[in-house]
Amino acid sequence: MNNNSISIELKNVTKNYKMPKGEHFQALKPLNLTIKSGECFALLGHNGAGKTTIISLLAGVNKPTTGDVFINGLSVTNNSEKTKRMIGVVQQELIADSFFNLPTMLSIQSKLSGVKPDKNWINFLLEKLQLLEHSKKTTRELSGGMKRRMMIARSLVHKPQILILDEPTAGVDIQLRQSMWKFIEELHQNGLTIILTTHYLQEAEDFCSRIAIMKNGEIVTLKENKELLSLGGKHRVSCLIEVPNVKQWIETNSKYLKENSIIFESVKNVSSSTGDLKISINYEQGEMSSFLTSSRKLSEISNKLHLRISEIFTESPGLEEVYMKINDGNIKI
Amino acid sequence: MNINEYLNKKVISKSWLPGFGVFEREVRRFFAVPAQTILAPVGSSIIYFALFGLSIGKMLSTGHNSILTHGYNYITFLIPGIMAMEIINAGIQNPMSSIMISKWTGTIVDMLMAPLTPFAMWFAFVCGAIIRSLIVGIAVYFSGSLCSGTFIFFNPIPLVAAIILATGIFGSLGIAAGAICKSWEQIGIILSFIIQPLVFFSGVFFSFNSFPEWIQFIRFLNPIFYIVCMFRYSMLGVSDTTPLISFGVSSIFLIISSVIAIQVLKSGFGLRS
Repeated sequence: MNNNSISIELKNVTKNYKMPKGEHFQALKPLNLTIKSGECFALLGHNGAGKTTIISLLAGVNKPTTGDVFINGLSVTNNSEKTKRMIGVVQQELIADSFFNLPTMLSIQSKLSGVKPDKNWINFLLEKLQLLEHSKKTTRELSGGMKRRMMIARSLVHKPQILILDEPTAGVDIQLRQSMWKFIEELHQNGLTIILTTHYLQEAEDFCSRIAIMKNGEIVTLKENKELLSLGGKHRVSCLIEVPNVKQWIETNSKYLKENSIIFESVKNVSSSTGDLKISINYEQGEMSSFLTSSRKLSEISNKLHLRISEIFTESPGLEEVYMKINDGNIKI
Repeated sequence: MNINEYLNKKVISKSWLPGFGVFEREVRRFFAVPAQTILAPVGSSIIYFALFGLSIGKMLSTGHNSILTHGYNYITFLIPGIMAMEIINAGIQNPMSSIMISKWTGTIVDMLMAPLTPFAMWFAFVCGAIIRSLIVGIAVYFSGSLCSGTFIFFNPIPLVAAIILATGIFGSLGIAAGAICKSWEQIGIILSFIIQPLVFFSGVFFSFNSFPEWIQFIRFLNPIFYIVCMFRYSMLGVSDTTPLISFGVSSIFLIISSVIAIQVLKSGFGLRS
């Protein structure tokens, strides 16, 4: 697969829904988006931001009100029968026909997707997702975690080129989540384009090369993973100190701390007579000299002010922090 | 084989497979609950044969009353009617309950995401309903024959045509109703207040000619009347109207109901949120 070719393209797409009283709700404002083949792309946003609407347009379940969606260059509006075969969707809800056992259900799912079932591939998927020993069970007899893995098997049974994961690990324990991600990573390495929506932002940070953040039906941020993380601020070396009166201490020393580029914040109630204070200093990520200089400076200041350090640690801005800041409007893009 | 080899292995893709997938799912689904989908209609038909045939049937098929049964023994007369009734019920209920369950459980999305044309989806649902109707029809035929003590020899061509037309019309209406209805209560209303009265005013239990003159117009609006006529003609050689008229009118009903069902599927009304 050519990694430079475009896998998904949304051109001036909008989506309006009719409300019961005849009003229109604009779920998507004019949107342009391009995703390359083999890319792992995250679509983040609060509930109702428009993520699922985008997925339903990609999957051909709904049609855009204006504009068009292209999958591997084919219009979803005009070639939905072809584009639907190229996509596998792991839905948010745990849904499956409760009448059938796993191999039967997967075989029917493959046919529904227009692909002749491959028994070896079905067994391979069941084995990879640790479901083989449960293959005689009907879907209603599976536990929540098993159903989550079943959803992944269903989405892959017709060997799609694009895999859409709509909160794939919701309600899954850490061990299973890790094994699921290992498998998804393996699929990605083998050329599958992956689109992820999740509320576990760490997953997007760990696995996706580009991240889009949506708010009220539009993409407010679309950046490379590292670029987005850098919006959260610099890496810091911090220490916790104990002072008798935090409020008074800040009033006395704030000028001196600011002059020395020290960031300070109370980590306990400021009004209390005693409390902990966190003082931090930034350093450049990946540069040892910068880290050592910053640590030394923090140590010198602590000595000079006769501070009693209870803990020293480093802090890195995470996606969660960036996401919150963007959503709260504290970062202007 | 590793994942790379599997993913690079060529997939065999056929345009008819999604429709076949829906058909297979429908057939497997009703076979998974045979007590509900096959035994229940057979059980109720045996009750009809026993209750009407063995008790009031004796009075209905003798002397002056034999006009009600075209001169036939009442159970013999009843068999085509009950077969038609149960086939119609199976035909409408199979797609209707399947679509309602899919909407209820969310699996309707599988259908919407499948590369299926509305026509293919309609065809698959109707074919699924025909299989269930055939099984129910055969079971009702044998149970009726056992109750009457004689096996009716029938003309298979008009009977198969009747089964396909009956299931086609009511399967299509079942698809449309399943998509449009928002609750099981609405489904119940359709079955109790539309289908059931149409069945009772169709000549299932006795010849429609025995109704008063002023009510005869109902037969022209009732597709079940023509279906019952086709069943009775192919099995007994008698009916309340000519087989050609029954076939022609039923075909028109089939075209209308199919167009309605395909349009509903095409629009996604009731299926897409």
